[in-house]
Amino acid sequence: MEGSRKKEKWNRLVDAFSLKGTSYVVPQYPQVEPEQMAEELSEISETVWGMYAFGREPLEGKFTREQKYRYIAKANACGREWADRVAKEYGTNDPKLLAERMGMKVLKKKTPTGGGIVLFAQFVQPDEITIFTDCIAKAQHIYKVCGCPLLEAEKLTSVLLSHELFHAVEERHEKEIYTRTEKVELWRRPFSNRSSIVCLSEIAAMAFAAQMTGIEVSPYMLDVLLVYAYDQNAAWGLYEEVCSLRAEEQKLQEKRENKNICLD
Amino acid sequence: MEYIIGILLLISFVGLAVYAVRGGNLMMGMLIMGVIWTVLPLIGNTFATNPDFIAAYPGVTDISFVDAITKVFQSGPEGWGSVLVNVVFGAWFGRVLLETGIADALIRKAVELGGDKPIVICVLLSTVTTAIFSTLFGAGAVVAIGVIILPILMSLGIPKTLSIGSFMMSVGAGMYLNPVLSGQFLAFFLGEDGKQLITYDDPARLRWAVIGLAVQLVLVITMCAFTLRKKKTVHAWSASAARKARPGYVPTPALIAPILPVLLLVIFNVPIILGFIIGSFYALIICGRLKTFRGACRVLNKDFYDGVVDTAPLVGFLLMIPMFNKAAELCVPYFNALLGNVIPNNTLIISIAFAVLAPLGLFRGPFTLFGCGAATLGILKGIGFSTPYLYALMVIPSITMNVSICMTQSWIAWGVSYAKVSTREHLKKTLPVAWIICAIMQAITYIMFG
Repeated sequence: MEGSRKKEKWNRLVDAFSLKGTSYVVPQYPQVEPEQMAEELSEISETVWGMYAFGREPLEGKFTREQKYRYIAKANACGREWADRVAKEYGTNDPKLLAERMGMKVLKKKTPTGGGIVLFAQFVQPDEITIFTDCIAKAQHIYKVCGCPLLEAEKLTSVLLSHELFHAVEERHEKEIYTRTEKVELWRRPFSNRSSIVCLSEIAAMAFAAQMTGIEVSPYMLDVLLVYAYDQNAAWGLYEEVCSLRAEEQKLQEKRENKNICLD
Repeated sequence: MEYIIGILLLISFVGLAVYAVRGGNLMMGMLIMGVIWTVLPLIGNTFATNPDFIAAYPGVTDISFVDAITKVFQSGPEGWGSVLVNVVFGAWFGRVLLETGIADALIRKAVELGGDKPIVICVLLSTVTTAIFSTLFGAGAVVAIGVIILPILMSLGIPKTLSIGSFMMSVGAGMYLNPVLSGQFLAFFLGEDGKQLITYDDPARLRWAVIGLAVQLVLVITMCAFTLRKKKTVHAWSASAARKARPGYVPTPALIAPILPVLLLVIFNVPIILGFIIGSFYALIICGRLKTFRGACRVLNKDFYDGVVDTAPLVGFLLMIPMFNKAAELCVPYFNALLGNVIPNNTLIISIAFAVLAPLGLFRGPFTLFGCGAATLGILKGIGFSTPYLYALMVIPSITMNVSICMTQSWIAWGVSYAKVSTREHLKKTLPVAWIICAIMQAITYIMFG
C-alpha cells in the first residue's frame, strides 16, 4: 500500500516535469454494477436525498441538521401538493399534455452534455424547456443491463419534463409557492439580503415529478444512473456519497431511538 | 551579411509562431530557438565586413564562441535561479491555502453573503477569486477552486459561458499581482550580470499591477452585470462529481492569509519569500495544523511537494526562456540592421498597435510571453524601449489574452471541457471584454511609462 502510494507520487512528479498536466488527481471510487446501484438507490429515503441536495446548496453552512430536516419535509410536501393542484387545474397528469396546455415550448436537443457536469434538462424563463436526448439515448444501454424502469426512454422523458415543469409552475406562482416564499436572512441589521434556498426548489421538483408520473422511487437516483452513462467513476463517486449519507442517517436514527428508550 | 542574418532570424521567428500556434511543446521550441539565435549571429559575426556595424556593438559582434555559448546556455538559466525560488515558495503557500481549507471557506463565506442573487454572487465570487489568485498559482489550484465555484454559479442559474468566463478572467485579474507569475515575466528582463532589471517590489511596477488587477476585475463584474441584466434565469437539472467533504473549521482571522504576503511586501517592505513563509505559518497555526512537531513536519513536507508539482510544468519551460533571452541579445545588431528603420521607435504607435492587435496574444501568438512573444520582446528590446514600458506592454496580452481566456492555457481548457462550452461560445463571451481590458491597460501603460 505504502509502496504504491510512493509510486503514484513519483509518477505525478515525473508527469508534471514532462509537461503532461496538472496535479489535480481525480479520486478512484469502488466499482459497483449498475443493477446493484439501481436496486440500492431505489430504497433511499426522501430525507437522505434531501441531505444529498443540501450538499450542493450554496448556503448549506447556514443551517443545522434539524432545520434541514424541516426544509426537506416541507419541500417534498410542496412538490406533491402542486403536482395535484396543477393536474387538477389543467385536467391531466400527462407531462407532455400538461406542457402543451401550460403553453410551454418543449425542445429536444441531441447535443452531448457530458464533461464535468452532465446536463439532463433545463427550463429557461419564461416558457422554454429543453430535454437533452443524448442522456436518454445513453441511458438505454444501462436500461438493457439493469432493467430499472425509470430508465425506459418514455418514462425517463416524462420524469425529466415533469421536473422542469415544476420550475415553470414556480415562476407562475412565485408569490405563493413554498420554495419561493421560504427565505433566509443573510446580512446583519440594519442591512438586509433575504435569499431563497436554491436546493428546496430541486427537492420539490423531484417530488413533483414523482407524483406526476406515479413512480415510487426518487428521480434523484437519475443523478447517479445517468452520470454512469458518461463517466462510470463519477457515478460510483455519487453512489458512494449517497450510501455514506444513508449510513450517517441510520446511525443518527439509532442514536435517537436509544436516547428515547433511555428516557422511557 | 547583416541583412541576410536578419532575414534568417525573422524566418525562424515566423517558424516559432507557426510551431506555437500549432500547439508544439514550447519547452523544446524555446531550446531550438535558443540554439538557432546563437548560431546565426555567430555566423554573421564571423563574416561581417562592415566596420561601422562591427564598431557599433562592442562586446556583441566581437564575442567569442565560448563566451557566447556560456552566456546563453550557462549564465542564462543560472540567472533565473532567484526567480525560481520565488516560484517554489509561492507554490508552497498556494498549497497551504488549499489544504487548510482557507480558499474553500472564503468562497463559501462570499456565497453566504450573496444568497440567490446572481449578480451579487458574481461580484463577490469574482472579487474573492481575484484575491485568492493574487498569490495562489498553478493549474491544480485553479481546478481545485473551480470545482467549488462553477457548480455554485451554475446552480444559481448563471449561464455556463458566463460562469466559466467570469471565473477564468477573475483568476487572470489576480495574476496581475501574483508574485509567482510576475516572477516568470520578470525572468525575461535580466541584465548582463544576470540581475533583474525590474523587480517585483518596484513601486511603479507594483502600482501598475494593482491598476491592472482593478481594471480587469471591474470589467469582469461589468460583463456579469451586463449579461445578467435581462435575468433570463436557467434552471438546469444536472449532476456533477461527488461532493468533496468540507474542510474542517476555518477561523475567521485565517481568511486574510491569501493577501498577507502581498500586504507585508507593500506596507512593511517584507521580502516576498519571507512573506510566503509568514503567510503559510500564519495559516497553518490559525487553522490548528501545527499541533505537534512531527505533524508539522509532515504537513510542511506534503504541501511543499504538492506545490512544486503544481508549478513543475512551467518550470521546465521557464528554464529554457533565459537561454532564448540571452540568445536574443546576440541578435540585436541584426534585428536593428533589418528592422531599425521599419519598426517605429515611438511608444505611442507601439501602444496603439498592441491595443488594436491584442488578440495576437491568443493561441501562443507573437504578443504573449508564453508563446512566440518572447521573440517579439527580443526584437523590441533591440530598439531600445525602457524596461518598465516593455514589461507592461508584453505582460498585458500575456495575462489578459493568454492566461485569462486562451484555450491553450491548461486550466482554461479544463474549465471549458468541464462545463461543455464550445471554444467559439467561450471566446465570443470573453474576447470582447479581454480586448477592451487590453486597450485600457495599454493606454494606462503609455501614460505611466511611455
